Amino acid sequence: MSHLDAARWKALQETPDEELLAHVAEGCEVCDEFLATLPGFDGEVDRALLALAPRAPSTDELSYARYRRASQKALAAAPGGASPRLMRALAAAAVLLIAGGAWLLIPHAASHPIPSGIKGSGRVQLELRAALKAPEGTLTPVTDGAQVPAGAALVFQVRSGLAGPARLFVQRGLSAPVELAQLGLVEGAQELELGEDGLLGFSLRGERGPLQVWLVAAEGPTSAEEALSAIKSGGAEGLSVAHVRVDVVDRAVP
Amino acid sequence: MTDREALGRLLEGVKRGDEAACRQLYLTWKPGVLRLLEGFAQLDADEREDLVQEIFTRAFRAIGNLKSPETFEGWLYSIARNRGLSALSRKSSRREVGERYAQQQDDSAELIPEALRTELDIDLVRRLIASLPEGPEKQTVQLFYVEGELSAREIAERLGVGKSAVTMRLERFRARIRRQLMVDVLKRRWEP
Repeated sequence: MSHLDAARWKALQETPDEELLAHVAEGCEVCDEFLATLPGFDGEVDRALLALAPRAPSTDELSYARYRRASQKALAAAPGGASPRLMRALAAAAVLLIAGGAWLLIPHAASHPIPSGIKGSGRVQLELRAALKAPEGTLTPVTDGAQVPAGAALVFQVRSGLAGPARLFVQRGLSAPVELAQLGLVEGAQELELGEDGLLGFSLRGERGPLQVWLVAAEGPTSAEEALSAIKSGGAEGLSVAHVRVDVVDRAVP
Repeated sequence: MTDREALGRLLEGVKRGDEAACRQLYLTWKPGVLRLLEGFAQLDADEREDLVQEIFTRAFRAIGNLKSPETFEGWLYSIARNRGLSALSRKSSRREVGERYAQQQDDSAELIPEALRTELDIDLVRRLIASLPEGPEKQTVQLFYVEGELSAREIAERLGVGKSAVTMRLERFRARIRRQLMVDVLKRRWEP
């Protein structure tokens, strides 16, 4: 018996061959192997099978945030990458912050005084608070340097003394901080969201060991290099820095 | 607005880089992609979640090549299955199969040839399930596709069989559906 191959498949689309069709329909390992290589077939099969038990749209905003982060890395690494417009959308949405925890970390008062109100002379008061969001949704305050489980996520709230741009960085261990997002802060406490109702956090999945999240707020436009320099020095003229430190561990933390 | 028009607008939004459209598309189809990956019993929950990220990254990158909204779902699931098989190949002895799938250009072009576009009748799938002889394969298919709650790994635990046995049963059933799809496509083409 002849088996299905590229030539016979092409011919079958034009000329009926009931004998070959019956052979394939009975279940032939060789023909099955060929069908499995046809582009598109498997996707259509899965579409039909998954329709048997349709699922509601996900509400897993943390997963979406994580996707945004992963896609940013992939796009940055890909030659050609995505359109600038898409890149801007990804950058704006990379990782944002949500409210809910107690105030946990306040930047050093000496280096981040409340603004004097004198233009150009003061640093922006900046505070960052964090909480741990467990997979089931519960929020637990995080103390500075606390151990946190890798399956959870950090969520934050920011309080800023002035409105202005800010940059968010993550630093893993002793490696250099990596920029995650550019934000726009308003004066006062604020929840930072993605989209219309997306409340996002920083997923700790895949993270291990010491991790710091840095927020650098500015009175005006600033570059990533200037923000990194401010992180190193603990602040700079017109820039304020706040950060949260945690130690990500594999096990559950009581 | 029809579902097709709504999906068409959503896809156009994603192509333009519209953030709300990207988010909606991700959240709407993530459950299906994740469910598909739950059919690979050898993959744990973390691995499946990682794959979801990879699948959507590839899909969004290539979505500009998608010409017709009708093909989106099957196209996305093709990417998901290929990535799942590729991940399996890194974990198991199915390296040959995984590599073959991984080599397909799943994220670079319209996958489904015009001639193959068809609506696979869901009632036909139900009839095929009903016609299966009572036994482990039918039980596995019922649990995974019809009840749609347990992952393949959980089904293996419930039935007290190996993970690969469940994956194989699901693959065997998918092969039946694939054959039926082929028969349907060709018979439609042969109709006068």
